[in-house]
Amino acid sequence: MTERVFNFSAGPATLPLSVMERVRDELLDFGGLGASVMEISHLAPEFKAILAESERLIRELLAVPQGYQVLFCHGGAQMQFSAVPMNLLRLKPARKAAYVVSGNFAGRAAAEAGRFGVVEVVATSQATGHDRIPEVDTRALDPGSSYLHITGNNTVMGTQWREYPQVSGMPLVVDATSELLSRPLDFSRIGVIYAGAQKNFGPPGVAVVIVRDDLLGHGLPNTPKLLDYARLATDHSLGSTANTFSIYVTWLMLQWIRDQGGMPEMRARSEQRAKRVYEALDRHAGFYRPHAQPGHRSLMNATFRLASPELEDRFVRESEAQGLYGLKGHKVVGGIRASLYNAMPLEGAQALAEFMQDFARRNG
Amino acid sequence: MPHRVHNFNAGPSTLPVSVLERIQSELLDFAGLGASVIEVSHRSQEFMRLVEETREQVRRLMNVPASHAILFCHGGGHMQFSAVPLNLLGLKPARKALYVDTGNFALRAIEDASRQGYIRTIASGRNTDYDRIPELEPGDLDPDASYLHLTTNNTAMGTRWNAWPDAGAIPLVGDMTSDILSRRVEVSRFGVIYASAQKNVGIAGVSVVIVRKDLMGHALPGTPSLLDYRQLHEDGSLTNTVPTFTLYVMKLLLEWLDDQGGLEAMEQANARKAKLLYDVLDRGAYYRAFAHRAHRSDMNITFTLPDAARLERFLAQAHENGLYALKGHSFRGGVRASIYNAMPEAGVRALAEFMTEFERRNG
Repeated sequence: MTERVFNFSAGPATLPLSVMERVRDELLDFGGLGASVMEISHLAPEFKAILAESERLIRELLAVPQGYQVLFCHGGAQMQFSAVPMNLLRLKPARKAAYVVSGNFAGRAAAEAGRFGVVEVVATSQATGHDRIPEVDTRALDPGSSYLHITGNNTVMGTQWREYPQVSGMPLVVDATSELLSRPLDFSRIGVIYAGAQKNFGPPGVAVVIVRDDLLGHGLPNTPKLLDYARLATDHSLGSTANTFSIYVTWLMLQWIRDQGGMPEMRARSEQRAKRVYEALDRHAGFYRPHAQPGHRSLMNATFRLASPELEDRFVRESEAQGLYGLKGHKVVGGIRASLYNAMPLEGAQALAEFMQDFARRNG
Repeated sequence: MPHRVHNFNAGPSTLPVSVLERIQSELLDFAGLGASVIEVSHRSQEFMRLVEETREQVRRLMNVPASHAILFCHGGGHMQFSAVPLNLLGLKPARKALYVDTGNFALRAIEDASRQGYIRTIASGRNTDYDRIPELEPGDLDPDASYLHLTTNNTAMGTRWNAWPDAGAIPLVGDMTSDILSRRVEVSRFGVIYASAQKNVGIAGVSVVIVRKDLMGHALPGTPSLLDYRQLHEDGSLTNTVPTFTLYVMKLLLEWLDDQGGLEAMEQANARKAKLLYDVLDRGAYYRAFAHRAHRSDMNITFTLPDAARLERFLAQAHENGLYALKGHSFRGGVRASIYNAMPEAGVRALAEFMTEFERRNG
């Protein structure tokens, strides 16, 4: 077997070895059933227990208050780019929503919402190449808007909200795809928060959506049933065959997160990992050109450029040869991106930081 | 050796042991990358090649003509219950579609489609308790309809279509969730074929959609991008992060199917397996088959016993004998044995023997 690499992929992303080994070991016989977890019905008591336990762990880890539903949906976060406006636009007669465009995925979310209603971009960082989270004057929001949508962490740009804005008169909707379960949340600010699992807590194929109860039941009449939050809540996310394997791995990841110490520990580790990488960047300022402004840097994705595309190619090639995998940046920003999610060990961040210093010395 | 039962689940369903062992052996290291297939980007070269190869396998095994595109879509057959009307109703100004009600899932398809336009049920098996596929009246094939929808195999009922209706210029849409790649199909007869993977081609999380290319590009306004066939086609089904593991397992299943001799061999093996069970059912009056003889499915064999007490005992004793998940769908009751591609003949023989023995002891 090839030695395990440090995998900096932006998602799907690395998983803890102990989780992968457990998946492997029980692949042909789950819990003594004599069948793989992939081969049992989504309505079997064993699978329903996995789903219920996953929900319970999410509630425990994130301290989700009463009055919120935890839903599991097909299709990742991008399906929610459609589901959010379909479920929420009708909260107010104008069928209008406010979006903060802080990068690539925020822009896609806003464009998709435009298929269903009126979208107002209330702040954007486009003019500065999305190197920061734009300022939003929440008191100036049109009270006729049904909701305000933000992207908590911008995977492509490497920027992150330090704190979500306090909004009144409309719910805040957060795409937390690349940060959910990496830090504690303050639900008093949140109406809906959603995330694809494949970054911090599982494999692709499932999105977790946490919705405040009073926001259910306002869907547009043509909302597909599997995107209809009220229906998903009634059906306990089992209105159709769920992505059983992805939910199973998610369940294992949630247990791993709990066993490691939950949100305080996840946050502390992500700060330590990011610190290693950003220190290496700053020590060789000029050679490395960070994309994000210092006050807006993401703890999840560190993005930077080098002097030329040739040098960046060499960086990717040489890092790969040293077992540092998946560092090529997203095509929108280019350069290098190191994704440092929950399952990335500190040793991985350390190895990257050392490589960066060495590479800068040799090529600076 | 891990403990393994004979698993008659209706879906998710049993997989070949050789496929499970292959997954197990390369779980921590996909294609020599030093990372699992679950951990690599859907846009990595290795994974994009896998998607392309999977598509080509489907095309080859099903003999899909160049006129049709092959898409992979999030969600299973249920997601297509919405996607089909969203994509096709706009083909004609009346935004009308025709459905045939052949049971539980056909009804759900009708219910979901009704959120999008005017849906007419032109034939129903309800009057005969869904024991057969109803006859269509040629006069019902309204030329203003955008499409005609069939459920080619009825998982809960144990019935199947054996011949496709002639709908003239109206595109035929087939929900093949429980029989895709289990028998030969002339794909050109259909405008759209869709199927979730978790019965004959893998595990839950993704569906295969085969669409005649001229039917793309008519999506209703307000169609979610990820359900828009044209968008998926333009993006090679990689509009966003796909369920990578599900596609990976599908590819292994297709390779396995190929190794078994392809679709023709699979069709014969499935007919042989089904006959083993139907022969037991037909031997006497103890077991009563739900489906009318001419409409029996080779995938889901449904039947009941003389009374509720013996039915309970049958299910309990089968379970004790390593025959797993034989309880019928709640819509139908009784017993259901789902014997998809990956169910080995040995499993079906074990069930047939158990049935014979049970009848002898409880007759």
